[in-house]
Amino acid sequence: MFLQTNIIKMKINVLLLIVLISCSFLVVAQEEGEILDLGNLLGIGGNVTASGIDYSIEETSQRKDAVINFNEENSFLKIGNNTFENIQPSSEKQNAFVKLNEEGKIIEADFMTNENGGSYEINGVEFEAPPNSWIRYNQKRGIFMRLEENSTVSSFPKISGEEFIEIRGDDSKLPGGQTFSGNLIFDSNENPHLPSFGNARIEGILLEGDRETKTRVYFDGKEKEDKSYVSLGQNNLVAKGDVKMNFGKNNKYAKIEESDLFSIDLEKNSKVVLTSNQDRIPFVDTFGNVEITQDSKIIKNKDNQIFMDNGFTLEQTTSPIKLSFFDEKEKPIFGIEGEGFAGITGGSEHEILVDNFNRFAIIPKNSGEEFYANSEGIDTKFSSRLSYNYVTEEDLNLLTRGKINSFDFSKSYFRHYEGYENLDFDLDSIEISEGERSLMMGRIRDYWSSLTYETENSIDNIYLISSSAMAELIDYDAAGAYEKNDNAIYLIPEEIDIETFRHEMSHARYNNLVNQKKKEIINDLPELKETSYKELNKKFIDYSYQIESLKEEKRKLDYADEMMEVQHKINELEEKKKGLQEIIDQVDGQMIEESSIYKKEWEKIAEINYGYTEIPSENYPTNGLIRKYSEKFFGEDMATYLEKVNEPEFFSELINPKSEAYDPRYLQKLNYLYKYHFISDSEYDAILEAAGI
Amino acid sequence: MKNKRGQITLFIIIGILIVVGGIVYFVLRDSIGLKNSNLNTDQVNTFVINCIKETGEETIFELGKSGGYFIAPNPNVYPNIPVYYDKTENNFITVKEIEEEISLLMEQKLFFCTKNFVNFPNFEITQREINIDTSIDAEKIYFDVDYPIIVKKSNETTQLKNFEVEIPSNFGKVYSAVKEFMMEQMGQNQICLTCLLEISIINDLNVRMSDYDNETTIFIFEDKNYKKGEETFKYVFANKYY
Repeated sequence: MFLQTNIIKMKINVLLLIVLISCSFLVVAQEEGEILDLGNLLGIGGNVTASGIDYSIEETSQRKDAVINFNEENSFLKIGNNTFENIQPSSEKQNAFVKLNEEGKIIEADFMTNENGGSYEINGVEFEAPPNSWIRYNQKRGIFMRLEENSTVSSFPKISGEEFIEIRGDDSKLPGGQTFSGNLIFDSNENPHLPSFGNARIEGILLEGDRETKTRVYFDGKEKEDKSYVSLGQNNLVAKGDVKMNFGKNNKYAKIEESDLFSIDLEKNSKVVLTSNQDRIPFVDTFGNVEITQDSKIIKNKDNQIFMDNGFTLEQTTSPIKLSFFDEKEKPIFGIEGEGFAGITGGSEHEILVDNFNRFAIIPKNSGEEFYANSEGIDTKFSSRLSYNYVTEEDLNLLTRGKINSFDFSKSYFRHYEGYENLDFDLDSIEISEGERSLMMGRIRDYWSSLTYETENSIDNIYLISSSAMAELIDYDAAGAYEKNDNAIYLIPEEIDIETFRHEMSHARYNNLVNQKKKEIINDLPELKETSYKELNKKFIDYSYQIESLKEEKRKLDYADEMMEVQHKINELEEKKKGLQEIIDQVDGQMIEESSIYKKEWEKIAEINYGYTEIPSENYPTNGLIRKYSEKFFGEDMATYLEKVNEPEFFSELINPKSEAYDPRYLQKLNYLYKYHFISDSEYDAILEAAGI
Repeated sequence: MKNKRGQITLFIIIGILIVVGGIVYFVLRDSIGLKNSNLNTDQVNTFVINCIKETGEETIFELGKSGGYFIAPNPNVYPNIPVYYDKTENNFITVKEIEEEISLLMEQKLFFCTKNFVNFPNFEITQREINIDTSIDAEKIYFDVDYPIIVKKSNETTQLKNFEVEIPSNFGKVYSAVKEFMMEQMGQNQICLTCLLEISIINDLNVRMSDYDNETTIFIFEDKNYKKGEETFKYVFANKYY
């Protein structure tokens, strides 16, 4: 009996549902150009007219809603004085409707503005929608407007009720001209706030707000009473509360280059004031607990103690800033209170200078010492108590993994190479700031650590020379570096980079390989057991000099017997010289033949005739070559490979048989470089891993 | 009564021995060469003292660069820099260990300074094994050097043996600064810049940090007021942070 009653009830419900569904799809089409009085037609309150629309009624037992679809280019819907126009007609891809309840109140909307954009009002929220903006509204989520890329919002929304509007920009512009991407929420006639979960990039800064308190965004750079806010001014920025800021390339407050990582992470009640300074580094004053991430290092204030922590391991660089620390009550906390405190001189407030190359220095605040930041880094002529990654010549000798003694820069500055006495090897005469000098040391230290053990042992000295000295040295003023097969490389300081360094070191490694082979050959020759090949050559030259001077002497003589005596000596020396010549020729021939195995092996892989071709530069990499310059000769082909070893992805397509760019010579050459220790295990593995082979 | 007689006999025997011993010494002292000679060894003495000072200073500067060790134990980083702190592991060197390292290195180096006394051709000098006891305080280092040297000229022979030398040195001060910093570091996985700054100001030191790799930071504590020639004193060590 009970079961039977339930079945009857179920049947009634299904019937009711069918009736309801049929009602909700009661669609009324409208003739073109006709203005409909929807208020009367739909039996909803208020003055509602429309044109170019169709409408339907969604009726349930509790409510009766009207859905108005915009079908035409010129469709409009007017609710009182509120007009919905400039709306793209509905299509399969895009809705275009407004849903009204029986009182004529908007309860849902979904449409996209046309190329003219428009002004709309939804339940007390008046807003300007730029062209091609997508607007959605429902009572749970409020109004959401997604802007087209690069569009401009001409005015902030005006809000009179409890509704809010969330605007998502995409490199869009706010009324003040500020760029923004991501979401901003306007919930009053005050400034917008950041979403509780999510972020927005404004003026090139990725902002993440407090999750518990609204983080409003202001655009005057002034301090506010809010618990959490970001205020972006023309030349300064103030932020307070649990706010994260990641400075991107296009921000106007801190100089950010492609690889820089610079972010500020505040805790509740903390504050930061960043002031940008034309031609000088920005000042960052922090109040309370804060974390400043610069590259892989985090400098932080944790309960008024300043720490440096390892962050993520990212091969990125830093952005130059001057950093000061205060507690929440704005009292300085970094340093020692009071000049002369406990007999301590120099006890005072300190600040941190961070430069562009993962280095920082800690100096007394307001010390009056000059410092500046340029594209290369901070000049360190100040008396820094603490410094990080600023390398001195002494440190370099101490820290460089490898040739500590022969890596003597102080000597190399003043060293005059035999035959090049007129060259300017004096680094002090090269105009270079202390900061740049330290940077150069740091770079060489870092580059040095990328070398294989065998390559490290291929040179004894690195000479830093001026560009004019370089031009004189190699009679070619376009070179930034040079390797002269004398166990040394010559570098122009301002042109040192990892590619140049590895390029020249590759020449050094190759020459070392050949020289080692020659040494083996010489050691195997019985004639040379008691003397060295160098001495033989020296003796040969000595004989030549002696013969020449005897000939000169003979020319000045008047008597035949004296001439005969000198000639006799000349003959003896000529004989000795000839003997030496034979040995040297034999050794040279053998050395050239045997030591050329390395060259031949490379050339066999290369399968080309070296020399410049008509292939344009932009076509490279091709033919197993890295760049145009690789065509010059096998040594440059080899060296240009080393330039790219630090970029494993460069080779990915070239060595992957599945790729169109694949050429087996690339991998064969890499194998060669690996076999002869030009590149390390880790470098070789990284290249293969990047290519997925 | 019997006991009293025994005591008198013992005193008589001791007295005879003293008298005989004295006679034998004065008669034979010329022939065994240990007489209180007139041989002037002041030059040799001064030379050895200067060598101790020079070698001591060299040793101190050298050991500073390798965190107090002659050969840095594991874990270490190139070139011979000890890792004092590796998150949970504390390898910080004690002052006693440094004193022993200084002694050990000096015992090896001192011979190279005295150069087998070739600068004293007028003397025949023989030397024996060196034993050094070092102690460090804030402003000085004391060397108690047991260096047996027998100086002979003609028939006269003199033995020099103990040299007590002190040199002014800020090694102890710098070590204390490093120790203070290391105490702050224990249990931390981050570098306390506040601590470093305070320590460097209070001790008038400069501290440089340098990345060795992604985990290792090398610290160079430099005392610009403590010099050997142009070289300033540096105390170098490494810590690992993950």
